[in-house]
Amino acid sequence: MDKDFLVIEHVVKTFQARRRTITDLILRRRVPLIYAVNDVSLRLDKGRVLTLLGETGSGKTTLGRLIVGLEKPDSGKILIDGEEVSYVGSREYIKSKLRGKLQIVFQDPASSLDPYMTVKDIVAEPLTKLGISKRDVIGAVRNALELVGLDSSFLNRRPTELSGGQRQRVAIARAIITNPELIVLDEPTSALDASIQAQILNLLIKLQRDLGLTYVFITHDARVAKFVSDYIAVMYLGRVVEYGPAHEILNKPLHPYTQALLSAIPEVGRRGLPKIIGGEVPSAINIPKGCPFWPRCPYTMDKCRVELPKEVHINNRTIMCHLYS
Amino acid sequence: MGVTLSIEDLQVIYKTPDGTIPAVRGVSLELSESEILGVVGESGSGKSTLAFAIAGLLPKNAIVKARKFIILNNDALSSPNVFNKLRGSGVFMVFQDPFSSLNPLLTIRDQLAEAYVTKVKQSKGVKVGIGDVDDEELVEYLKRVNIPDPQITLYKYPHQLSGGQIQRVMIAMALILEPRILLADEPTTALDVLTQIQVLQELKRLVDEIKTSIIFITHDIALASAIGDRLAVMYGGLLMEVGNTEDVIREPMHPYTQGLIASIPSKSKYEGLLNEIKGIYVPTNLNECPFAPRCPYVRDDCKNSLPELRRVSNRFVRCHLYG
Amino acid sequence: MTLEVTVRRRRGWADVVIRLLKKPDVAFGLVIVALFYAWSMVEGVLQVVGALLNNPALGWALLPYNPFQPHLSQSLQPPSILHIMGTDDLGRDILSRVLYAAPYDALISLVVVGGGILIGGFIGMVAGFYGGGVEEFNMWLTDLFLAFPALILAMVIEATFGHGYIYAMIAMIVVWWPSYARLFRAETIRVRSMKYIDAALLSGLSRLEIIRRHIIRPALITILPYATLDLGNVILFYSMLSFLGLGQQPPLPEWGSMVALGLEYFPRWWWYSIMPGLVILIIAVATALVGDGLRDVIGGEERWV
Repeated sequence: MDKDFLVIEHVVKTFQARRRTITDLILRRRVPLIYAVNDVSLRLDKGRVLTLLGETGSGKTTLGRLIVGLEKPDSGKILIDGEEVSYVGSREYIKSKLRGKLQIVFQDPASSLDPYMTVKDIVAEPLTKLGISKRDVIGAVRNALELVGLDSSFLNRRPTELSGGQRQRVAIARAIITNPELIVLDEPTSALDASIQAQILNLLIKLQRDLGLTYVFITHDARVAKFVSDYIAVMYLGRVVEYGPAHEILNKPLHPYTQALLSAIPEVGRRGLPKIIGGEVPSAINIPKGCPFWPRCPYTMDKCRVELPKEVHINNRTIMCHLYS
Repeated sequence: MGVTLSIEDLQVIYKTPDGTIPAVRGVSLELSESEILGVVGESGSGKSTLAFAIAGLLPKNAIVKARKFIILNNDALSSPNVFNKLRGSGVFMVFQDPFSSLNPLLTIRDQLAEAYVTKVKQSKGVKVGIGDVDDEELVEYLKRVNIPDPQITLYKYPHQLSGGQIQRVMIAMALILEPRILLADEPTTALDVLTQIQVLQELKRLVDEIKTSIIFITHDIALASAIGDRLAVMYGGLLMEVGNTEDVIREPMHPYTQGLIASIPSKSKYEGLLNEIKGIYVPTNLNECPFAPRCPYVRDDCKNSLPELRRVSNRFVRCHLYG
Repeated sequence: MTLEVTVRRRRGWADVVIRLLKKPDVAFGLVIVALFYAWSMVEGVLQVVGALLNNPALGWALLPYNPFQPHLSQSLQPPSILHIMGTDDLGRDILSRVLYAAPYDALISLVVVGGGILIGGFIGMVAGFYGGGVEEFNMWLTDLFLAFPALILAMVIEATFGHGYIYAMIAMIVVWWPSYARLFRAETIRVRSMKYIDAALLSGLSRLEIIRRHIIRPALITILPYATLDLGNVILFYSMLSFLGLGQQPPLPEWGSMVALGLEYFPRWWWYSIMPGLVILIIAVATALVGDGLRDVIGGEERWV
């Protein structure tokens, strides 16, 4: 399968752990850096769903933002359909073919919609710079709302009048209205009640099929990943530790972290708590030398503490672990 | 086994400028020592209000009524001071919103030390100064809830912590207080899966060692079933189904419970879409079943009369389908 | 501990006013403020038209007496049915002078607060949204002006450029904008972290467009209570300036300068200072009550409108 629609090549993104102070300047001290995304390379074909599976601090949200251009990589590049993704604040962005064609649906329905705007204006916003006539804009808005299951009575409502699930539908309508090339969905159902999650997940999959959309789905919940994914990339401390087709990863996880993650999911009907790995949660600033996971890995060897594992390809899978290299 | 909480027909109504809002419309339940009750419900079900009522932390515009309301052998209806007396090592609550849980002007250390001081005073009657509390002990509690760099975090202020870290601090506080009743309102939502398990293990330790009763509130029925001995499913301010966890999960009787269990993702999209519960919560009057607007089995009598919470085989169900 | 009981009805400005009127102290303030500005508008128009038509008598057509005409036989009369606020040393009716001066205070309060919002708002929003060096410079400028004691700065400006009503207005705008810069910047920073700003950036909107669409409205609504209260502050400040002789010049009446002139006659002929002073006090308190009420009604609730 030609996996060249989304190409992520050796992307690194760092943030300063704190603001630079005068003391730093005087002592010529470097501000400690957080390596949010630490040399990640991934590929995805068009019309498929890639899930970034990981916990807080794994870098999945940062990677999602890099993919759409909300952040600028320190090094490496990201291409979509051959075109390089430019940073939204830059001059290149205005001329870019991808402008408005990369969208994101956020986790928190409360902060993703401007409470002072009507649904109509919110959903129409991505069309502002496309020079479309007012009549066509209304048509497109109605169409988008219909696709997400909201009727025209919602046009003039405000976000404060809507439930969490309804707000997410509006956010999704806003994301699809420009027929985007790719949509990043950052934990879109995590803030919703369980009874609404199924509705929204179904909606997202239906849209993906009907409109041929390409998704990068971000979640920490392996149950959700199981449902939506074609491919899963498991992330830990800014690196992809395992990557491959979804069903393979879920049925036979190879990396110890993936195994731990999957076993910690609460399952209905299984009483009691699963046995999990212990160890201290790592600080994102003091990333251990060697494999980032070694302090918590039940299979640690001496090699793991000093040497970063290389990426190894086993069948369809990519894995970063000394057990397999 | 001792009964720690006994309520009958508890009702909570809010008076707002826009009218009165009934949040809890008649809930009865009993809680024993060493028991974890999982309360499952979505927004608008009244689950959080129920917890606030038991903790005595309802706002001033809330009106509480009940036929019986006994907490740790104290009559909560007799005077509001009952709650003040019990708070701390009697009744403790972990809130859903981490950001309003801690005093922004005090360090984590001082707030945990305050809990420690309260615990010592309430259990042994001894007065200890906040400055006398041993930091090393406090660090141990932070380690138990998986807080990274606990020595440094101890001296931070709440605004320097993430939501998940604050949630863990609150649970550490619960571990220090060793309350007899712990109300946990979505205590693990902001936490990673692995940390969640760790936290739940610590809560179980409280139950096993101190005989704490826990009311664990969540919207995730899988999580509730993993940790709860009994389940209480709430909807529209009323209990819909209450029973032992194994029974309720193996054979859910109420359509809402069935819907919740069925809608959990467990297969890939290629095997079909998820089972949904259609619609969203809308408030209803007390002369109809609150779940009627969304129920796949709705009949005429569902819209005309509110079913009672009735004992059916090994549990209680509120549904016209069962008599 | 606040519980969120979400009420999904949409609220409009009518609801705000009704909620305000339900509180008796706020209602009182609202009435006073409304009367003040309504009267000032009418009287101001009459004065302007009168000046244009060369018929200044229009300015006191609605007043009980001519505020400029001295009647030495009536000088320093205590408050009575004929002269509700008494007369000053030249026998002029104080109430008429107070009413005549009202539009000056009304106008300057609106111009200074409005100017503060315009200038401070622009500087603050740009600082908050662009960040980096722009923010540093803007806030340095703001702090610079804030550091000067307002009264001294205003006096210096007037001493340099001239005094009188217009110069007082300009001096006060210069002194007033920094507070608004701070408020607008704070609000901008708050809104900037909202995810819908990211969505707008992805849609290709420029930063200025985003400020216009997403920041101006919530910022204005947030500062509305403060701005309302500030109207009273401006009037107090201007009264101080004219007390010091830096406002409009005699024979034009002004509340502050009337208080100053009346000091000579205090306490025997107390009404000369006290009456205009009371008017200043009541209006300042009224704006504060309305501002306070607005803050209770708007702040701390789910946003709307």
